[in-house]
Amino acid sequence: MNQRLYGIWLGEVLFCFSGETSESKIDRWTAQVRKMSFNAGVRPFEHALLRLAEVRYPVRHVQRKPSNNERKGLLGRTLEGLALSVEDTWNLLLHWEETKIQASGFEYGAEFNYWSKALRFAISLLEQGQIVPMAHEANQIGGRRRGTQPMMNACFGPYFGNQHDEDLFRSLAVAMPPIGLAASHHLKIQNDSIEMMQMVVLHSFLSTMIDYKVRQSIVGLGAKLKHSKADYRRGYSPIHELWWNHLLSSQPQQFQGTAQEVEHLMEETAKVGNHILHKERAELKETEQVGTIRLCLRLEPYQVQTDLPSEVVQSNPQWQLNFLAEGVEDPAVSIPAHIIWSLSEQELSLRGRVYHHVQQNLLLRLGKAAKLSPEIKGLLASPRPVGGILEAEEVFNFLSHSAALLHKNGVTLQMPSSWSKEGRKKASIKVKADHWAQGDTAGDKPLFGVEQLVSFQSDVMLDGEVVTVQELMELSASKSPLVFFRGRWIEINLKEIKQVLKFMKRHEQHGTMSFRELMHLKALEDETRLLDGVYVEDIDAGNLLSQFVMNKEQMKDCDRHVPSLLKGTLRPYQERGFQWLSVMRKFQFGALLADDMGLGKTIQVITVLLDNMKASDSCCLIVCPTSLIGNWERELERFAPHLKLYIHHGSDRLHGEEFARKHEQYDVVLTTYQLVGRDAKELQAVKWDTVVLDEAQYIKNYRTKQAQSVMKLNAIHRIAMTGTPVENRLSELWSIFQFLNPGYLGSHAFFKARYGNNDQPDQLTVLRTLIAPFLLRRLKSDPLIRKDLPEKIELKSYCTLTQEQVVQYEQVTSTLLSQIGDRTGIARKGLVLSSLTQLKQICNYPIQNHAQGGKAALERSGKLMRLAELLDLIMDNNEATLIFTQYVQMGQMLREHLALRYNTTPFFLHGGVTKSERDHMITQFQEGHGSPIFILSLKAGGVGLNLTRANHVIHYDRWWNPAVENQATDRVFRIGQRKNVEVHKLISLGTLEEKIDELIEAKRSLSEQVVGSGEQWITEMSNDELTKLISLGAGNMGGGV
Amino acid sequence: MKDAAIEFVRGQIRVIFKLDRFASQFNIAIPIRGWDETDLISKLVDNSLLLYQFLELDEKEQECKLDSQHPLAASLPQWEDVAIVDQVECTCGKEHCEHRQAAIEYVHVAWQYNPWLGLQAVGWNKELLCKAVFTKWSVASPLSNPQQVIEKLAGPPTKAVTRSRSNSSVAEWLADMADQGHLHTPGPQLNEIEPKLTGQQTDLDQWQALLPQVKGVAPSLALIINEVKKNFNS
Repeated sequence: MNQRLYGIWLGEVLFCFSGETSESKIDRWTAQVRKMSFNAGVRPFEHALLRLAEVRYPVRHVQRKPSNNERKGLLGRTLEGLALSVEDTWNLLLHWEETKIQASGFEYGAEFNYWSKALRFAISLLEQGQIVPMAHEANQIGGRRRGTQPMMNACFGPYFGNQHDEDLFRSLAVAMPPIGLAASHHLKIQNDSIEMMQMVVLHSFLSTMIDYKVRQSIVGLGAKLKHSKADYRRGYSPIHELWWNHLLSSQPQQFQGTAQEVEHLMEETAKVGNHILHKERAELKETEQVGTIRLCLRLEPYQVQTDLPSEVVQSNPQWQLNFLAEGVEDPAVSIPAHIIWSLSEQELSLRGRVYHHVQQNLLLRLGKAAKLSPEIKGLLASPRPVGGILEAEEVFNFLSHSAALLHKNGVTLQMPSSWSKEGRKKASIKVKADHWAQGDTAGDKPLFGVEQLVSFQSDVMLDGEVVTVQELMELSASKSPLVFFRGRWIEINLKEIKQVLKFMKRHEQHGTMSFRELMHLKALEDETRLLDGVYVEDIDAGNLLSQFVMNKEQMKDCDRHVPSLLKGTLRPYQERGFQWLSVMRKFQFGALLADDMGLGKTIQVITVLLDNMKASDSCCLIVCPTSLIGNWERELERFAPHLKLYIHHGSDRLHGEEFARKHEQYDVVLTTYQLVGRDAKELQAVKWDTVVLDEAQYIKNYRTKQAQSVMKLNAIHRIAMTGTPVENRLSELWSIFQFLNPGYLGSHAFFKARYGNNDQPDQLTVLRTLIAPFLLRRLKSDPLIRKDLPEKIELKSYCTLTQEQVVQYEQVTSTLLSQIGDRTGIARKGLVLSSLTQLKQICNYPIQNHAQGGKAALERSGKLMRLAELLDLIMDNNEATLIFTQYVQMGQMLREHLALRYNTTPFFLHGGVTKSERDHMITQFQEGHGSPIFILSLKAGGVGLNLTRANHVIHYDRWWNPAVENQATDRVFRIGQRKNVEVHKLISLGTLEEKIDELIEAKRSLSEQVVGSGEQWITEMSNDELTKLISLGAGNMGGGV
Repeated sequence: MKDAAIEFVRGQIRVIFKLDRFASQFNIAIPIRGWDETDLISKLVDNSLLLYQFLELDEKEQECKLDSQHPLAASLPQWEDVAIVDQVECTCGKEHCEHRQAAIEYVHVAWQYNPWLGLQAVGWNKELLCKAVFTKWSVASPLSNPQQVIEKLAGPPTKAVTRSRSNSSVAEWLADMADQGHLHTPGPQLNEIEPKLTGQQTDLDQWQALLPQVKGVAPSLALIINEVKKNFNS
């Protein structure tokens, strides 16, 4: 019995499943169950479709136990299984044979016996002609409502014309195993009483089976029914006629009517057809419910007062078997038989239910149990049967033979907790995996990354205690599952013990498993934590994992020195990040660096690339969004000028053999996501040393060509960077991990089914454990990080011009340069200043046709694109920002664009805003109402305001006067600010923005004096200086791709 | 003897039968003497398995004869002891009618094949028998305050869980059932259900009334029902 088979009626299909959640196990199960064959060559599962269903099904988690006050309920889980069509369901249940199932290696749920009996009931109804036309709303059984009118079905169902037949139906419904309601939401019946829900599920099953067969008969009657069809005319005829025509059709089809028509039709057909559910609902009164009892058997050691030595007692123990009556609907009702026999009345009212003929029913249950168990039979030859004493041998027989049969027939067995299936002493292993295996190979193939082998040692455990192999061998020699071990009687599972012994023999000295397996075992905490089929009780992988799972304080075993070629100093946490990336590289584990924005991910990655340069001849590839090309270029130039960089971008980029030949001359190739898709052939042909994905969330949709091309890049080491809280975005997370460590999180469908359900927080914990070694995310709010950060971080964000911006920029510069020679004095200054203003505006956004929103607007300006990326991160982190611009028109445009993008209109303060409006905006923003984005014109918002809700300041365009910019920044960086402040200065590459910025940086000490008077100093430059300043340099990426 | 019906009235057995379909209907009354149940009740009280086995015999079944060696066989009312065959009366009016003897033979055979017939003739049925046995069991060890004892065992009175109309109650019920190991277990009565239906079919005229403008609703439904029956009975 190594596979399980369970079934639930979902309204239109019988959903068969194993209860497993592991993808590989489901695959094995599916393959095996499809082969199952019954008499007459019936193979009901052969063509059944795989589907997912939300089922309330238990998983025993080791750690999660409800607290005392917590009301526990069975949570829904998404399970994968096979959906049997009506025809397959009919065939399966008609040919259902327990022995056949067992012979196929399946342990089946007793619900199949129930559904088989229900099918027999449907057949009896058909044989007797007890069928009746019905009308019901299609969305009641999983259909969809189109428009406002309900969809209807016409079908045949069971007919119960008198009390006797109705009672039969009710009895069968009440006998439904609880699992029948484990997916009741599929039939949209969650708000009924349990008895009513059982009736609805059974009725749905009977109707579907009956309708399936009646339609076959209708096909057989063919033309005989043709003349009976109604002459239905839409708008004139009653909907009843449309329903009638559908009833006579050979294929069930849906139809529509107004809500009123539909209600009327359902009411009337139910009334004429004596529809039992309709009747039941109408008669439903808040009266006392009728309860049913089942037999409950309680087995416990017989405590006897004796002077005999304990060894003698232990060697011949006796057991007490007690009979009880238990409420089927309410298991809290559990009354010992001796109390039942002492009752003078035959009715028992308890906890809102009345139990009729309670003594007679208990006696009937006992008699039926006696047929299955000779031990019980032996205890009934007396008056008032209450149970009795069983000898050890009888107990053994009882547990090994009778107990399972009784349980299958609805008898509850209560045993000492250590004896129940759940409490049975579990034989398991404890694994200690603390070092890597020598010679990582699978045959001739070396193993890399998460497939690398880990060496482990194992100990044997029994019920959580370490035992010796010798002790386990002695237990396995026992002929009884009840054994006296370490001073007490326990029940053991011999098969399980033998499996553990086999495992220990196979891994006598030490075993190996892949790192991936280790992580999955470590993450799982339920009964699915199996290694070679043996339950793993405990895993100690502390030393091994401490190398990857970032200790908040420090990494262990970090011996890498920051390369001397790095032109810059790493902050302490950045150095730890570098160390971590180095360790990840050492083991070829794909690494996800997800530090908060502003913490300097780029410099950490550049450091590790520099470090690798010494050891590798291969080239590295950095893939980033187009808007970040400039940033990377500048950062590489700033921190690692030794790295030879080739920017694979623009229309003049290398292709084919030329690329293959020339890329080897560089240390780093920088490109964009679009080009990885477009130039896939060239880029995939290279064996990269490292591939770095910046803003890795760009590959979140793994189905896109772009993402697929990225996945196929060939690299020794893979790094992904993102500033978004990626661990909470499951689709992104899977795609990124598929790039980093292919296959580690399973297929996308499996991943979605397993972790995509919000009702299963335990599964998310598993996922977090799985990804922990490969993920490094530090937040600015972490006290340990914060102490390493300056209170104000200034960041320059470089952006590129679009083709449109380039053309406009060049037009203005060429006009200026052609006219400047003819102008002097104030006229020259005026020309320069007006041209500068135009150039700055073009860098912001093309100067014509501002009125454009959405994606189209974004694509016209590289700076706007960069702003959007920055804001996405800020919004993701629930932070707030100020955006300064000198131009009211630009501010207005930003306001409109950002309102569309984030569905909330930013505040906008400019010279035209009245004082009361301004005060209102500031109060709203500070108190956290409205948008977290505040746009200000530099002149109106530069001084006197307190806007400390924001911890980001974005200078969309530059004033070139640090004092003015600092004043603006101080709206945020002032008393009352509790966070570190980030100042982002957006600079268009190759333009005067970049050149003036460089000028100021180069003369920082003088800058206050030089530029103190605003932009006037530029007008005093010579023509040559001016030409150099405004000419579009090579740095811009104008033209895009 | 076709179409015979037996009725049990305390102290008498009535047989109603026809010899053939043209003959008149005759009622024959067989008087029954009183019977002492003590021995049977005592045996049933002392052996719960016997009681179960006896209750399991279907009153309506034609053949559930007890073996002569069965422990209860001797304790059941015996035909010879209780039937007053020389005082049998027939309504046919003939002085020496053959109906009386036929009825005696018919009832005698039936009596032998189903012990419940004899018990009914002497005024006992399952319900009374159970009551008698369970009363004895109760009296043997009575409870002074049964309701209090039971509530103590099962917890305080509460609204039945099934009356709750919230989704969580289903989840909790399923969790309870899973904890008990009964998630897959059908109710104990499943094996007792015999799907013996009465064969009563829907009233076709009412369907015709529902669709007054459509011709042949009732015949069409009849056609479908008969076709289905034919397909399943062939």
